[in-house]
Amino acid sequence: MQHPEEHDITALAYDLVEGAERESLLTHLAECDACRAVYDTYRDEQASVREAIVRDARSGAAEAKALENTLRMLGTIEAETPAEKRGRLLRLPRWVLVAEVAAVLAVAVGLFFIIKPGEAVEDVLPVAEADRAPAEVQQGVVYMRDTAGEWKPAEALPMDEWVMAGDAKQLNFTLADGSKVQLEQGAVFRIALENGEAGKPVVYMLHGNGELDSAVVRAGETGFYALPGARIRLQCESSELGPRNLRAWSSPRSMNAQVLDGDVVMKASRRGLGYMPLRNGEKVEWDGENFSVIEADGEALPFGIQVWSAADGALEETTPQYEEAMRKHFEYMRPRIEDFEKRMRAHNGERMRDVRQEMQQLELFLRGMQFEIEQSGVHDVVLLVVDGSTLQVTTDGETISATVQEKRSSVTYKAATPEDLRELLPARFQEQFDEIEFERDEHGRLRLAGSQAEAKGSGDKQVKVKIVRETRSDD
Amino acid sequence: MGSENDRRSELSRLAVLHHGPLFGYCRRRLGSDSEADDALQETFMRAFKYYGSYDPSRDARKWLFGIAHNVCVEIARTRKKHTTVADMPDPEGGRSATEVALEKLAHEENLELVRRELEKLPDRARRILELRFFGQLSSAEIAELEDMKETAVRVTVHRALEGLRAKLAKQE
Repeated sequence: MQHPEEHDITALAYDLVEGAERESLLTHLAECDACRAVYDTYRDEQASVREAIVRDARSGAAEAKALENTLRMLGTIEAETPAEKRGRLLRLPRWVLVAEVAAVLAVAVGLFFIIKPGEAVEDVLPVAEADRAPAEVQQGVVYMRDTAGEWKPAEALPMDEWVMAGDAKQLNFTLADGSKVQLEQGAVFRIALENGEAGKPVVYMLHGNGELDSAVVRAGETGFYALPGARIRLQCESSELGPRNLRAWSSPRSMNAQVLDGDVVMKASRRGLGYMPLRNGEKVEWDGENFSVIEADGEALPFGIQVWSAADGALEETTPQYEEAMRKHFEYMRPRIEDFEKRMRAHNGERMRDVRQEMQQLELFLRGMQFEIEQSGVHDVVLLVVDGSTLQVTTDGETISATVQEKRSSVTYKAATPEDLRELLPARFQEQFDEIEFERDEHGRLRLAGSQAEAKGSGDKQVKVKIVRETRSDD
Repeated sequence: MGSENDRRSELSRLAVLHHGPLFGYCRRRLGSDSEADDALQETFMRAFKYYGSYDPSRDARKWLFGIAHNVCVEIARTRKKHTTVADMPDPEGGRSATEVALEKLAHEENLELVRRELEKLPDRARRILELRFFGQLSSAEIAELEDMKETAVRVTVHRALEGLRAKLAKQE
């Protein structure tokens, strides 16, 4: 048997090889255990090298700013650029460029209008064979934008292009790797090849609802790997997909994902976040700042469990529900780690060692949070959730604090007595606040009334925790 | 090839589609957000100027990466000092004790080792890897940009990684 050169195996592992040569090398690997073992090692290494190179260099905010600057520049540049302008960005201070282009925004931002499907349906936009996504549409119509930015039906599903699921029926298509995708009308998405995984199609969701089987799907900072046989439902919202909000064209404003069947691994691309195995029935939410598990085992949790921001010391993470949810994670994942790893590698070559390490991280989270609560001096915690806003009430024995947590803001009120605190609170929380009973203990310290809360810890470190189920004004 | 507005429109569309990987590549090459920002603008300014020579049947991403590659090489040559990612400040400074503790986990340590070893690689080998990961270019396409033979691209990467492999094997 003629073995390939080792540098060719390296090149294959790093996806530097294409076409017939790639096929030939893969055929050899299928038959040769020795070469495949080398390839597997290099492939693992490649994932580390890729992460080390790519992770720190990507920054959503900086990329968005650079895009805005580039679009402004394209709006002002002249067709016949004088030769002396070539390379000016390499020589001029940034402020000169900024001053030069600051007044001009309209041309570039006017390029991307959304017109609802149905307003201009007579034309069908052609899609060249070379630009078509590796997908077969079974049902529905795909809309893409023409050069004027108008949505029009497309001849085929294009590659690397934001498109919209168009007519009254849902859009169903199958990707070349067997992934099945069902998107509701109005969903905006694009098909692209996974970075570093040549030939592996990925669905990028920007807006709307859909279900995906055995697919790799990304929504903003989050990626989901629905392993073979797994199904996931995504609900994405990008409310301002208009000409004045170009940033909205890179990621959804908010996203919900629910595992409908099988096993799914979530991978956040933000620095410092790892892989998160999700169980059947779990639902996660991205509100633009944090990930939260909001539903598990098909039942809504009483409030959002912060998965990723434990370092902020948010006390809601120390609730029994959170610990129970994490325990279920561990119980579910421990016996399945090996199987996850094997299937994930077969699926797309990702390094499932990270999942194992994510488990360790979660366990550390729990330990770290227990430490934080013991050191905090907080005696009791009450959580109320009203219309999606959280009211967290804590006592340290002397004063009562109430923190109102909205989607993007947080305000804390403090008072010496419950009555004084009630007067400070927003009106919508006052009724719920009235349901909380306080009492003085034998040392005169203000505590939650004993019967209404669960106790955690013991002795001086004991903390009572009360969770009040979510209420909504339209219930 | 089309009107000036068509050209603006098409390049703006390409900027929206490809700015992320292009920016990442420039940032990795140049070491700062501001220089990557400049390089991205320079890339599209040149794309606008030479749009007439662009063949739409070609992969636009590869065309743009070819331009960005040249822009980064020129900037690096101009300032003569190459700043690497390792010199960049931590964009998430002021993290809590819990996060710092988590950083000590094996994965981060492993990644840090890989980062350190990557910084020791010859610049050309690093550049090849960056073109691969950000631009998804093949060895043939990289060979064209780097003015090398395709085999030389593969051998360069393979030899450069041998040191990294030895370190990783030692760690395990």
